[in-house]
Formats: sequence, C-alpha cells, structure tokens
Amino acid sequence: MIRLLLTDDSQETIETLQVLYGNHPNFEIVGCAYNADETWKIIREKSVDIASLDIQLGHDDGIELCHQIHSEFPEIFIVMCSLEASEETRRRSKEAGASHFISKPMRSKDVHEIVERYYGRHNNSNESSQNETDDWIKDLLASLT
Amino acid sequence: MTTPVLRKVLSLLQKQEKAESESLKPHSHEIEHAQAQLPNTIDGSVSVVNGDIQVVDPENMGSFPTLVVPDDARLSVMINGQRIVGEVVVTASQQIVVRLQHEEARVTYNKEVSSDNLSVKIRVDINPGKQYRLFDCKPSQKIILNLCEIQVPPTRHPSVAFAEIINLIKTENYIGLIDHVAVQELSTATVTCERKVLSGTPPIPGRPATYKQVNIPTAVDAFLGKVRLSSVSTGACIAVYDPGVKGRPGRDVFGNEIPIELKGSTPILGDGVISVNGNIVAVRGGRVVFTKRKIDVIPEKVIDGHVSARDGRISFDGNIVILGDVQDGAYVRAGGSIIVRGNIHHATVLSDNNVTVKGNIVSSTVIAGSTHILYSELTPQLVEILTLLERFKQEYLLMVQSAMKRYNSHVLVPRIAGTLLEKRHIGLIEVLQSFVDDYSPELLEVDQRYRELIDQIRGRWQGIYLTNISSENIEELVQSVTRYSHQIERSKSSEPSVIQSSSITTSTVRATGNILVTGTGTFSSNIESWNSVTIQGTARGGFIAGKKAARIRELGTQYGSETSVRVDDPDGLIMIGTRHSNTLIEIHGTRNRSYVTETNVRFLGGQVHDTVAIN
Repeated sequence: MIRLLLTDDSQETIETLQVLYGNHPNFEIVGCAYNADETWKIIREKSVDIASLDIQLGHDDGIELCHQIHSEFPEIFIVMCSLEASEETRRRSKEAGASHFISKPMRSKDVHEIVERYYGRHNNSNESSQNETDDWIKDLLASLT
Repeated sequence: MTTPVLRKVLSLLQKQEKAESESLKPHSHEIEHAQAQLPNTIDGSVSVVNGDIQVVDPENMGSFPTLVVPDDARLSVMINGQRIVGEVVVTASQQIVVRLQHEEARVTYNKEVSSDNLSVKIRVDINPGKQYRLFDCKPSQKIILNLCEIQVPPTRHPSVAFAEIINLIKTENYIGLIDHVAVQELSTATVTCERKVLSGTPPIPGRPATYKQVNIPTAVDAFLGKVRLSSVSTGACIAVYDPGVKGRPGRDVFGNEIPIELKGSTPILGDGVISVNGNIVAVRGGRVVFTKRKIDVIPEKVIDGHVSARDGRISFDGNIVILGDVQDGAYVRAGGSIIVRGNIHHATVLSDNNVTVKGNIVSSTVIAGSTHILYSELTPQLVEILTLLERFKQEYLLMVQSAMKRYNSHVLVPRIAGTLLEKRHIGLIEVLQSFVDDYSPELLEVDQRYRELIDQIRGRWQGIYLTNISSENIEELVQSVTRYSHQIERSKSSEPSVIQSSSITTSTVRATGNILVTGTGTFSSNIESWNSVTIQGTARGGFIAGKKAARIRELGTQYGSETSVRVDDPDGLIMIGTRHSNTLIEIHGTRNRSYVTETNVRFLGGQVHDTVAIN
C-alpha cells in the first residue's frame, strides 16, 4: 500500500483528491493538510510514501515546502499538484525536489501514472553493439557455471 | 552746320512727314463710301447628309467651314488621301472619304463538364455585330463628327447551329444521353444562354441487407422520457431479413465507371439473438434492442426496492432497473444499462452501457461503459508487456545459441531465462508483476480471457517459476498477450455510454459517452467523459474533464471555490454561464485562470471569447 498525504488549501480539492486516490487500490490516505504546519505534523507523526502538494497554500509556498520536505525526508516521493502549471513553475518544482508534477484538473490516468513513476518502472533499453552483445552473453554464461 | 540750324531743319522735316501721312489717310466718309460700293460675304458650310460629308465653299471672302474629326478607332476620315484627326478646314474641292470600322456579329460555343463528371453544359455566347454611321448634321460652319451605333444580330441557321453543337459534343467523345431539345434551344437562341446537353449515368446506390423489425409492442417509459420496445421471451421473432437492393454502377461523361457507394450497414447480431431461416429470433428473454448498429435481446432484472451491501455484489449480464436507492456499500454491475429511480449513496455502480439516475450520486463510483474503459487502460500495459517480451525473447535466443556451442549446454540453457530476466530485464518482471497485482476485479469477473492471462503469468512468470522458463513458455506468453490485445481491440467498438443524474457529490463518475447533470450540479467530484460534460447547475470544486466539450451553467462559487475544467480536443469548446474567480479552464493544453467573475464565457481552442467581467 502506498501511504499518501494530501496537502491543499482548498477543501473541495482535498475532497476530490480523496475521491480520486480512494478509487485506486494501491493507496492509503494517511492524512490531509491545508497548510505547511499541518503537513509537517502529519509527516512527522506518520509514515508517508507520497506527498501531494499544492503550490499556492494560502500564506505558505508549496514549492518552498517541497524543498524543505525533500531536504529532511528525501525518500518521500513528492507530487506537485497545482492550477499553476507553467514551465517555470514545473522547473522550480523539479529543482525543489519534486518527483512529479500534475496540473489540475487531475484524471484517473494521472493516478496510474503516479503509481508507475513511484515504483520507478521503466523500459530497459539494452540495445548494444555486437561486441557488447558478445561481452554480456559471455559474462552471463560465465555466471551460470 | 550749327546746332540751332540743325534743330530748325529737323522740325521742318517732321512737319512735312505729318502732312504727308494725313494726306494719305482716308477720311471716315471716304471709308463708308468705299464700303457701300463692295458685294455681301457668304461663309462656307459643312454638313452631314445620310452619312456623307458635304462642303459648301464660302463666297465673297467668307470664312471656310471646319470639320472636327474625333480620335476614334472606329472612324477614319481621309482628306485628299490623308487621314485627319482634330479640327480641319475643309473645302468643296477636297476629296473627303469617310471609312467606318464595323464589328461583325459572333456566335461562340463553350462547353463545361460538371464537377461530378455526370453532365456536359454548352453555353452559346451571342455577340451582336455593330454598324456605325455618322449622325446627320445641318449645314454649319463647324461641325463635330459623331458616330451612331446600330446593333446587328448574327445570322444563324438553326439547322447549321444544331449540327455544330452536336459535332462539338461528338468531337470530345463524351459518353451519355444527348438532350436534343436542349440542343435545339441553343441553336435557335438569340441571346446568350446555356443548357445541359449531355448526361452521364449516375450510379444507383442500392441498399445493404438489413433487418426489418416485426411488430413489437412499445411502451412509454415516463422516467426515461422515451418510448422503449417491450420485453420478449425466448423464441420470439424480433426481425426478418431484408436482402436489400443491389445497386448499379454509373458511368460518367468520359466513359469511366462510377462505383456503387453503399450507404448504411447491416446491424450486428448480439448474443441474445440468432438468425433462423432469415428470421432474427430471441435466444433469451429480455428487452429488445433494435438500432442501426445492433439487434439484441438484453435480459432485464428489476429490483423493486433499495439495494445495499446486505444484498451482496449484484452482477447481471443485462439491464438492471432499481426502483429504489443504491445504498451504502452496495456493488452493482450490469452488462447492459442501469436505471436507478432513487439515489446512489456510498456505492459502486458499473455498467457496460448507460447509467441513468433519477436522484443524486453521493460519495460513490459510477462508471458507464466500464469494460470499455478498463480495456482502454489495459491496452498500454499490454503493449509494454509485448515490447519487453520481444526484447527478452531476442536476447534469450542469442544466449541459447551461444550456450549450445558449449559442452555443458544442457546445464546452461535451463538457467538462461531466469538469469537474463534478473540481470537485464527487471523491467519486464516489474510490468508483469504490476499487471497481476493491479488486476481489475471487475474484469476478472466478466472476462475469462483476462483471468486466463493472469493465471498464466502467475503460474509461470513470477517467483520461483522464473528460474524454469523455456522458449515455449516465452512464445506462449507472446501469443496470449497478442491474442488478448486483438480481442479487446475488437470489443472496444461499442457505442458510447451515457451517465445522467440530478447531482453528483464527492464521487467519481466516468463515462465513454456524455455526462449530463440536470439538477443542482456537482460538488468536489471527479468527472470524466470521453465526449461532453453538461452541468445545468453549479460545478463547485472538483475536476471536470471532457474530450470534446464542457457546458456548465455556473463554475465555481462567489467564495472562490477552486474548480478546474479540461477539454482534450484542440477543437474543443467550453461554455460557462457564470465563471467565478479561482477557476481554471483548459483546452488541449491552453490554460486560462480566472481572477474575476465573468459571464457568458466561451473558450474555443485557446481563445476566450465573449466574456463579460463583472468584478
């Protein structure tokens, strides 16, 4: 189960995110926060795998919050989820340590994508030259004996 | 000579000159006398009579007449062999020749083939000739020549013209039926006109084979607001086969064949009917579905009352009609449509067809076209599995080929697959793991092929079984995944499924067709349509996504509820009656965020039109 923390200053959005993630069997929502203080409280009390953060959190800055969480808890997979989705915002989010960026409105397939990215699945491109092919074949065969 | 003397001489000379001049000048009475003795002068004249220029010379020192010849290409005036333009003095002794440039009448024919190459039109341009003559002028000392134009119609012989037109058609080797009446009209026309003179043969489209519905009683469903075919029992005759009409190809005026265009198609027969001697017969009882695309008998289950978790999972391969509410914890799944006369509350409702809810959807998951949606989500996974499997297979074969050259190949070969997977194809293992772990319970329930695939992966491609994979196992899995991919592609061609409800609150609602909310609106919900979303009330909070369009009466609230709407098609449309601040609308990546309240918002593929900001 992926333990998920939701942070957004909009109550309606928090409820919608709960509905969206709640439909996916992989997720367990461990907490909902409306500002930075509440977010920290939950992170320090509970084990969190993924944190979904809004950028505009009232008086708080979501990107700054992302940076701080990433510094203290680098293992947490941070997803920025925001109405503000310019290239500049995405860049700043990435620099602050966000692992993924989703622009609102979110859809069900965005949740699947988050799961895929969280588990870090990627295609192994093992294309190689003939010499390299011969090398790895030889190495693998050697490992079998 | 001295100066005083000189002055005296000059004075005398001047007096003498004066006297001499006065003696030569006639006196006035002498002038009058002389004049009275001369004859009267007569000025000359020039006139135009019947187009000819006539000149009368002056008499008794009278003035000669002048002729003004305009610079006109149609008129050439030669005086003594020289062309004259402008004002010229003329005399009777001159040889004045007038030449006029007449225009001959012309008849020309132009042909035009229609854009569909099925007819030929001929246009006859009749341009009357022009003859000129000089306007007559009375004798005058000066006249300006003017031309008078007379139109002369062409001389046409109808029989000759007829033959010309027929010859024109035949020269071009047009194929078709000649309209001789039209040709006759053209040959006798006195003004420019056109007629269609030749027609090709248009194709006769025919009619594809279809089925004619037999007389099945209908009933008005007050809830749905439409007429529905009634239910039938097993063995009932639904329709009879109509073989259609064979069409006939056409031929254009160039002689090319025009193929038959077959419009319409034969409806497919669903699982609930079979064809028996040209009759469509129900193989199960249920409600008749008769559309242009499909004929079927869908079983229908009517639940009189509420449904809740106590009733267990309700799954039915047909329509489900619930006369009450779908309540807490209930799970309802239908292979056909679902109609709920009450509300859906904390429940899961999945339909392969439409979902119609009279009341409200609250804290629930409602999906219309659920199998279609699941298959669409499965497809990328299957594609990924196939891609990684192929790569794995290629490397496996390479390794086996190398191992076979070794003395201990019998030891090496069985171990190759597991080692290769572990060392170089972790991605494939993960994807297969994900496919099995994230299985869809709904699909497992209804799709046997999906179950078999899951079992195959579990039984051979996970855990300890990875160490014992053979080339046959690899090939089997490739074949299974490929076959399943093709099968679900075929299944995806079903009609879009619609969801209709009075309101939607903190729910997930997804449909392969339109989503229509007729009452108060939506609240903090996730709404996804593969076509259009229409909310006749207020959308407050939540995520709304449509493929083609979104129409919302009120988006957000005056309190700034964060609400966002997205349409995927670049030609999509978002229409909003009142749009409050802190709302976002997007069409195909072009986003617009509002900080004021606006009315009558139309967002078309990137541009906001027709908005009126209120504050």
